[in-house]
Amino acid sequence: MTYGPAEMMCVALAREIQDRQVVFHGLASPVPMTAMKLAKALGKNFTYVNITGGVDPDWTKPAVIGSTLSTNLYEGAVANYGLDEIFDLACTGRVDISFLSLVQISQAGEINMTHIGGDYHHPKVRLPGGAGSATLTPVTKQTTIWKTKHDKNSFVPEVQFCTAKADSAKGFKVITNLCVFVMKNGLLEVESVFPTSSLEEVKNNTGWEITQETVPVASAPTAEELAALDKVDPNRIRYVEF
Amino acid sequence: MFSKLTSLTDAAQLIQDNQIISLSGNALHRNPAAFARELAGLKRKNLKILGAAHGYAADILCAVGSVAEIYFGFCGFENEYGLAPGIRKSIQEGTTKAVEGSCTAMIASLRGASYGLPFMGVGGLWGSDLVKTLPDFYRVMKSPFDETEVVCVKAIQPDWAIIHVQEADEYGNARILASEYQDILYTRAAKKTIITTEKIVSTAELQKEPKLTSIPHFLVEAVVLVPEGAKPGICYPDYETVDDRTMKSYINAVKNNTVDEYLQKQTQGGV
Repeated sequence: MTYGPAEMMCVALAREIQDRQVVFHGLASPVPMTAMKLAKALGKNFTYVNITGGVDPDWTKPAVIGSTLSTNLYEGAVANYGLDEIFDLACTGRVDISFLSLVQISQAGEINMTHIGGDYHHPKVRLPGGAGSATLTPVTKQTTIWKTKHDKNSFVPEVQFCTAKADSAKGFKVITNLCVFVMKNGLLEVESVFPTSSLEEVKNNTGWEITQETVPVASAPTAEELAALDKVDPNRIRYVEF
Repeated sequence: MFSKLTSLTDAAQLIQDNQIISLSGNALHRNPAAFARELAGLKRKNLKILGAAHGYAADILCAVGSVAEIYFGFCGFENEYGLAPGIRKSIQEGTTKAVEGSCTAMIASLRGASYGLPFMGVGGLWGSDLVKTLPDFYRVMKSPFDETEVVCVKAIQPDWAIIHVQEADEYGNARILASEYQDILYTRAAKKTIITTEKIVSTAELQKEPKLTSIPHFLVEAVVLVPEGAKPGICYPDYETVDDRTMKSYINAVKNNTVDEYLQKQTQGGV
């Protein structure tokens, strides 16, 4: 099986997950859903929680639609734990990873999901809202953002509105179709670039100046990872976001 | 117990101008869609909608101009169906005021209402511009015990929770199968609840496993039998994919300012 940015992203997200962690994704999250099922298929022994309330749903059943609120993430679950309770779990420091997305982000980890143009009360473009982000980002041990379109409209020098802010006391990463950023000393820097991209491409598509001259290249997906990916997502639901 | 069975027309008439409502489900899942279309046809004014993640039902009420304020964490239809077009348009045009929380902030506000308190603390939110932008909803206070700063939200009590379920009896005892989202909290926070249901079942059936009946009759004002009442969205286990043609015709209707025509066709059983 060949791979492209979609496969690389799913693999990169899955590699973030460790045994014994509690890991959450929200709605409209086909890439994290695929990545979490992939991590299960690769034998990682973590707890999968999501908005449907299903705890560790049956990952062997492939998703048939892009929605991550469907019973595909409920059926076969070992217990029920609703979103209200998941937020409480996070607020008491017991969620290890939240996978979240965004519309815009600055190098300082300010996330905009609220509006573009105009002001808050008179927006030119009203965005969907940050969902759980503003609460989860400061309280989850590690927030891992995924963003399938890395461009200068999304990776901006500064955001007009900060819906949620990365907490430099917590882990914070951003995984895109081109690279992985990690928060260090309050600023995002490139941790690795994907083999399907280059540092030059990352620089050309990022709205702030990246001064790093060399960065590691992430390991390409292994044959085992790609085979597991094909098994958990035969319907290619991950491509809904590309 | 008293029978609460009524028609969709009569149940929608219960909602008055200026009231606050919470609508069941999440994005395109288990919304009281048929109820929302009926209510949209009544052209109520200055409604307020409160919830965590709004979809089709809230969207159609915004699209017809009935909603003065919407409280939300997220508004959208997920992935291929994109952003909630009616909500977006009514906010951008200034018809509807947006009160954005995190989903957690809306849950906290509803918890405050259900506990009979005027406000509630909520976790996180540090660094978010939402807190300083919306002082009518958010305040920061110090714990009276140890000076810890806490973001607080105003408790808001909905007049009505409108909940679409899979099974209910005629008295309003109701079961939600699979995902409950925030619906149980909505019924505890609201003054009264309206149930629309895929199926009417006997009370004896519900008595076999009381724990599954998460909405008791005494909270409920009206029960309406509405098979396929969440369409064009999803309601487990009876229909698990979006009715693509109808959903797209709705999205196009918002785009083309023809939502009234869409509503007429819907109530006549057309597209």
